[in-house]
Amino acid sequence: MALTKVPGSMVSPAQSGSVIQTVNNNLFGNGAYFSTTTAGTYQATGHTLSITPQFSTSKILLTCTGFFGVNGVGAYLTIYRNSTDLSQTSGSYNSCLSGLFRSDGSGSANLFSFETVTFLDSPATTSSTTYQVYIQTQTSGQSAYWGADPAWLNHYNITFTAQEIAQ
Amino acid sequence: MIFLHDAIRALNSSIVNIRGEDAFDVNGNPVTYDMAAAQAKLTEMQAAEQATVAHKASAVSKLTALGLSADEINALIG
Repeated sequence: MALTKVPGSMVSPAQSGSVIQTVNNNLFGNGAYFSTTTAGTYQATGHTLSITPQFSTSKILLTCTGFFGVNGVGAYLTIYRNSTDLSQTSGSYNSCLSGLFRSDGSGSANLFSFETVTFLDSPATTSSTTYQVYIQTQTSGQSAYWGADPAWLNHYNITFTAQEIAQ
Repeated sequence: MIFLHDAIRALNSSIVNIRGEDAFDVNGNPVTYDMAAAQAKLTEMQAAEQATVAHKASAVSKLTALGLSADEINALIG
């Protein structure tokens, strides 16, 4: 069989804007997946995924979905790349990719929302990169949840997807 | 809505984070707990929550019977 030479321009880099690879970690279960009563410092939920970019110039489109909630005043969510808070100001609830907050400051009941959080990251690496969802509560001692059905079936269904986008 | 996580914390004040059924203290150390006791506490807390809902519905019904408008009742009890 004759070999065909493939021009380099056809194999690298991929066409700008095209999806090179997709990685996801979808979790299902009963009750709640993760909860914390910690305020002021983001807590690792354990909902992670790892991706190894093929090109250092690629963007990584992150999307996580699921019920996010608090039994209290407010809660905040961010995504970490390895040890870096992608909402820029690590450790502060003033910085987040998503949040829930009662404008009247009351905190005696559950507040839940089905969230879809997206972030376009530029990791600038071809090494394996781990992303993880982090949350914290507004007021210490009040529970914040990632992955908890507030009323219907008492189960969670959370998704976390990373797509490498060629530049 | 009361979750098992809430019941676990109600019985174990040192627990800060819970992932599934795994509990951790403020330093990230695993904390063991009695699952049967937590399930019993969950049932107790859910019953209390249902009782609160029933009391609220009863109060609204009685206030309505007294002639209060819906806006007036909402102003009182939210």
